[in-house]
Amino acid sequence: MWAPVESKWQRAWGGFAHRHEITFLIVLSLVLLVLDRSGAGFFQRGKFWVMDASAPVVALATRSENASDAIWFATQNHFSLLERNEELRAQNSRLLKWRSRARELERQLTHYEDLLNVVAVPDSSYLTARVLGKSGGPFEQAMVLQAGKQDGVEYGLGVINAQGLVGRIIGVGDTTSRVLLLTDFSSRIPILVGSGGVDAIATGNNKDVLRLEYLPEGKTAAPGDLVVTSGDGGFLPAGLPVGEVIDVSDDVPIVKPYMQARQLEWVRILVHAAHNDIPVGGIAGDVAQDDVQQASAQEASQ
Amino acid sequence: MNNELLSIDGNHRAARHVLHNFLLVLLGGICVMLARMPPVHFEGVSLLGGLPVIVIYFWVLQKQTEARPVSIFLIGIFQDLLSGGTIGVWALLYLSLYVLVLSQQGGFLQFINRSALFSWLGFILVVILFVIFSWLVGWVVAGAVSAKALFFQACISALLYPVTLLWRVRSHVI
Repeated sequence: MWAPVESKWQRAWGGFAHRHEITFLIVLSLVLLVLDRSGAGFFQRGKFWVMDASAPVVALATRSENASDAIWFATQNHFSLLERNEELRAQNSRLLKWRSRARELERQLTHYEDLLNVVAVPDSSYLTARVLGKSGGPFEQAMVLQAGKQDGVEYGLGVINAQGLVGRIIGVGDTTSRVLLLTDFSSRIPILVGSGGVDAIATGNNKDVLRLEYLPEGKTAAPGDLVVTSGDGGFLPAGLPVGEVIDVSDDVPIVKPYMQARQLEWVRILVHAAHNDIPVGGIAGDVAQDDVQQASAQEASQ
Repeated sequence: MNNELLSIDGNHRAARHVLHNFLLVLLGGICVMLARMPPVHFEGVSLLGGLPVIVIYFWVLQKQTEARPVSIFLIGIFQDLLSGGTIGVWALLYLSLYVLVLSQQGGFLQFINRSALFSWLGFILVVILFVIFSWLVGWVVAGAVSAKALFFQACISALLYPVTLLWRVRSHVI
C-alpha cells in the first residue's frame, strides 16, 4: 500500500505555521477585545460595519430560533388553553376598569395643566425593531437590534417592550445597533421608587434582578413598590415602568424588572421627537407588518 | 506516476481538511444557536451555553491538528456577534480551550482512550480549567461574572458529554 510521504521540512513548516496561526489569532482576539472595550471610534465603526454586513446571516439564524420559540410556546399554550382563557378574561375585566380610570385621570390632568399653563413635554415617537441577537451568557447582558442610523437610532436612546424599559442604545451602526440591558453590570438607570417618588439608581449585576442604590438617607423602599424612570439625564423619558421591589431584607433593595430578556423578539426604540421624518410606530428593516403583529400577540400571551 | 499520485492525494487531503473544518464551524455555529433557545434557559441563563465547548474538545481530540485554529476563532466570533457582547471574548476563550486540549494530549489527556470513564473525567478536568479561565477573563473584561451561569453551563456540559461517547461506540462497531 502506497502512503504519502511528508518530508521533514514540510512537517517542520506545518508545525511552525500552526503555532504561529494560534499565536496570531489569540493576539488578534486580545486586540479586538481591548479595542472594543476602549470604545475606540474607528474600531466601533469597523465593528458595526461587520455587524451590518453579517446582519442578514444573523437574522436568518434568529428567525430559525424564533420559529423554534414559537413552536415551544405554542405547545405550552396548547396544554393550558382553558386556563389561559380564564386568566385573560379576568385580566380583561381588570384592564377595562383601569382604562376608564385612566381616561378620567387623563382628563383631569389636561384640565389642571391648562389651568397652570404647563408647557407640554414633546411626545417621543418609537420605532419597532427586531432583536437580532441577545446574550444569555455569564459576561454581559446585551442585545443587537436590526435598526441603525438609517432608521434614526442614536446613542443613548431608551428601548422598551410591552412590559417596560429594556435598556439603552450603546452603539449604533448603519443598520444595526447594540443595547445594554438593564440587568448588565455596567447599567445605571435613574429611577423613582413608590408613590412618593423617591430618587435612586437602579443598577444591574448580570443577574435577572436589579439593585436600588443611592436611596436618600432615611428613605426606604417597601416590597411591591413600583419603580419607574425619573427622566434625569435626559436620555430616557420619565415614567417608564422598570420593575417592582421584591426584597428589602438587605441594605440594598432588590427589584424584579418587568422585562424578561430571553423573551424579547421585538422591541421599541424611543426616538426623540426632533426626528419628524420618522413615522410614529415605524418598523426598522425589511420586515413584514404581520411578523410584528404575530410577535406582539405572542409577547402578550406570555 | 508517483508525482501524479502525490498530487491527487494532496488534493484529496486538502479537500478533506477543508471539509472537516467547515463541519466544525457549522456544528459549532449550530451549538451556539441551540444554546440560545428558550426551553434550555433557567433564570435567564442558557443551560446549553457549554455545547460549543463539547464540540471543540471532541473535535480537537478526534481530529487533532485537522481542526484549524481559524475555525475555532470563527465559532467564537460568531458567538460574540450573536450575543451583542464584547468582540473577541468568546474567540479568546475558545482558542485557549483549543490550546489547552492540544497541549494536554501528551499530558493527562493521553489516558482518555483507555476507557469511556477516562474520556469523561478528562473532559470534566478541561471544563473546570476552562471555567476558571473564563471567570478570570470575565472579571477583567466585564468587571463581574454570573457565577451561576458558568456553574450551570459547566455542570450541564459535563452531564451531556457522554453523548459524544456514542461516537466511540460507533467507531468500535465499525
